[in-house]
Amino acid sequence: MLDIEALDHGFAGNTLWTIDRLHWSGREMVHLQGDNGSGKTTLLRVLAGLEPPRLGRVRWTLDGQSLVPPCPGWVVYLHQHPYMFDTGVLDNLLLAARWHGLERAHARERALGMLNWCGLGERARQPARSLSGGERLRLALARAWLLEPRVLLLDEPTATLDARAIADVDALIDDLALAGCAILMSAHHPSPLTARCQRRWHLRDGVLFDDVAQRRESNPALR
Amino acid sequence: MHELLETTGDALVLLLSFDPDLWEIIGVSFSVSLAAMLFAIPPALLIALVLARVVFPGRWLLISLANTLMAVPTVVVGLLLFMLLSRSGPLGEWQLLFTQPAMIIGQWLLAMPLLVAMLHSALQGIDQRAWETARLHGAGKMAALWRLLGEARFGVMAAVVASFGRVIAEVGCAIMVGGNIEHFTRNITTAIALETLKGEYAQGIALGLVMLLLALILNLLLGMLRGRGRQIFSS
Amino acid sequence: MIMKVRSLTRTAGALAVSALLAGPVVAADEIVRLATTTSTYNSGLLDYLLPKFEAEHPYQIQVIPVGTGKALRMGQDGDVDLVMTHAPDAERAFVEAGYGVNPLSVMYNDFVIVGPESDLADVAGSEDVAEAMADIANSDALFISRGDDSGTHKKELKLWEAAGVAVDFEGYRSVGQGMGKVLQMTNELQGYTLTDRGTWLAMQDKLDLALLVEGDERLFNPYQVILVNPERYDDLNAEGARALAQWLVSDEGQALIDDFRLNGQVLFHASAGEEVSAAQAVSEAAAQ
Repeated sequence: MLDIEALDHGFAGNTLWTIDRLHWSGREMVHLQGDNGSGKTTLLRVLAGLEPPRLGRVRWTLDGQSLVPPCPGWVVYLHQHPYMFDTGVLDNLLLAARWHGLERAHARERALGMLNWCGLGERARQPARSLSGGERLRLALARAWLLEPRVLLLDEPTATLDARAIADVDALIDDLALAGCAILMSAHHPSPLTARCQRRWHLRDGVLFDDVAQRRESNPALR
Repeated sequence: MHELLETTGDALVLLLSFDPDLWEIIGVSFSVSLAAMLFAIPPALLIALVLARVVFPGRWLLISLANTLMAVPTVVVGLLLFMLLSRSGPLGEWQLLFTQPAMIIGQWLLAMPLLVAMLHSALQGIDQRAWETARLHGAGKMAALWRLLGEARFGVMAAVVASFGRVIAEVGCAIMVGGNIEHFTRNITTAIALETLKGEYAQGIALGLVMLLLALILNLLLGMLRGRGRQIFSS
Repeated sequence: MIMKVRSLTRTAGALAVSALLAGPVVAADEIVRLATTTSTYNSGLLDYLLPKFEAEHPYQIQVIPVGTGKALRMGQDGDVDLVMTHAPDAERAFVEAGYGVNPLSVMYNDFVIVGPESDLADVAGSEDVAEAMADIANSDALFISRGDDSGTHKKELKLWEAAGVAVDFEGYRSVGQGMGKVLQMTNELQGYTLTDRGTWLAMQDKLDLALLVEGDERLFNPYQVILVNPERYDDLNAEGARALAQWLVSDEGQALIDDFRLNGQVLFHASAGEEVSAAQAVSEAAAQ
């Protein structure tokens, strides 16, 4: 599903990390760990295709197709603070639905469905930017899930949320995982979400460790 | 003081009685300035988008250039355009001097730097995540650009309002290339500037009131847009 | 292009001169403010006369070149100490209303009609100015009017009246600007216009136009100097204004006016002591 070969990234001549080879079937939910500045966000952005890697390539095999990121609609990355378009809550969903190519009537139906799914049904008319952090994340998840992507990349989703908000998000993530969406998330602190992950990747000193395998070399270990 | 009041009274009578000469002048001002804005907004948007989103060598030079051109006095633009359009100038064959198209070109030249600079700062201020989020959610490049304009709409409108205010209030260029010809190129500002030479102040004051009212409306609009912009910024 | 550069240099020179004039701080009672027509100012006559007056008298003259309408208005409002204009009717009204006193005939010059070399309306050499103007109105040519209530504009309107032409004809362009600007526009648009000879002589090198009609007595142009009524405003420099007016009509002033040449041509004819009403009669003949 995800294949990486000889991937290398960094800025201004300094290598941030090097990944010789990595394979992820997508069946397990993955928790990406690492210290500040270890390059977690950058790795997620490279996987999403928001930044080209300095060397090597990322290849997603989704529904029998071999894709090089960015793969809009297939692989969606959520920023640590998801961006809310400067419109209403429902309009944020409608925008994504329209971009996804849904017809007007169908787009509305789907957007309303998603709105109820994420528990913001009462807030449809409210400006999206007036939502709290937890609500924003829920709306962002709904906006992403509206496209029914195969992979969600979440960057520190719980970093600034309280326990209640995390529980709300956790319920949504549970739905997504059940629906077969592959989830890779970075997180500093343990939470119900990280507890849900069956696999841990650890970025340390520019090398990606697979903590399930507990082996030092990153290359063949992660298959 | 008494006379000032009396003249202002005459001015109000002229305005409210829909004096045809007066309203013709107002019509010239608006049609010329609106046309100039109409022609200026699309290319200015394009340039501003490129300046804000594309990194290329000489980019900051262009931005500085736009900021510098904003400070060029309108009469200088008028003089340059006059020399271009003059019978002995390189574009003399077009026979545009002392016509409304010449005024539109002049105001276009005046509006562009201000529009580009203000639109650039409006678009520059948009969060990079807006573009990324739109693209990751399946938006094509044009759809994503359109969304960026939507995100920057208050800044974009502020740029348009401010530029319109600049061109409709300018007088130097309009006199030089328009010529203040009655029924043809006489607009509010050239009429004010030159009617007073006749020693007839009532029409000047009436037109001044129109400009004042327009300035008030534009400033209220700008104030609202700025306030709205700040609200967004803080969120 | 060379001509443009020259005109720019000239403008720069004029700016420098006015900066010099404005430079020194002068006591208020030494300043005399004279509102006069752009035509006298542009011809260079005042630059020629006033230094000679200032050398002999303890006054400094500040010239405000505007149209006659504005000049008289400034007199009425007490913004200047005296006016020198060329619009007999308006001047008479100005004096009758008590705004001005002591009107004195100073000099006269004449108006001419200039137009494109091609002379679309075929008026060159005409001795009847009214007929010539009717021809212009009936042709496809443009006529550029000052349209600024100046003496020249008033003269033009009288001539149209004499020609029996209403000024809303197809080619009529009223631009509300000074003589120099109007000549420039006439040149650009290759139309016709009525101009005082002085401005024409001063500018003709830069213009692609020809002098077509001159000599009709209705083109006569008398100048008067009028003191602003000192009873209306306390802070006028009445003494200085009187000194300047008297000097202009003195033998010395009159001789200087007659001696003034622009491009080797006589521009103004001294006329002190001549009855203004006589001049008016000629000018008003145009109205009939």
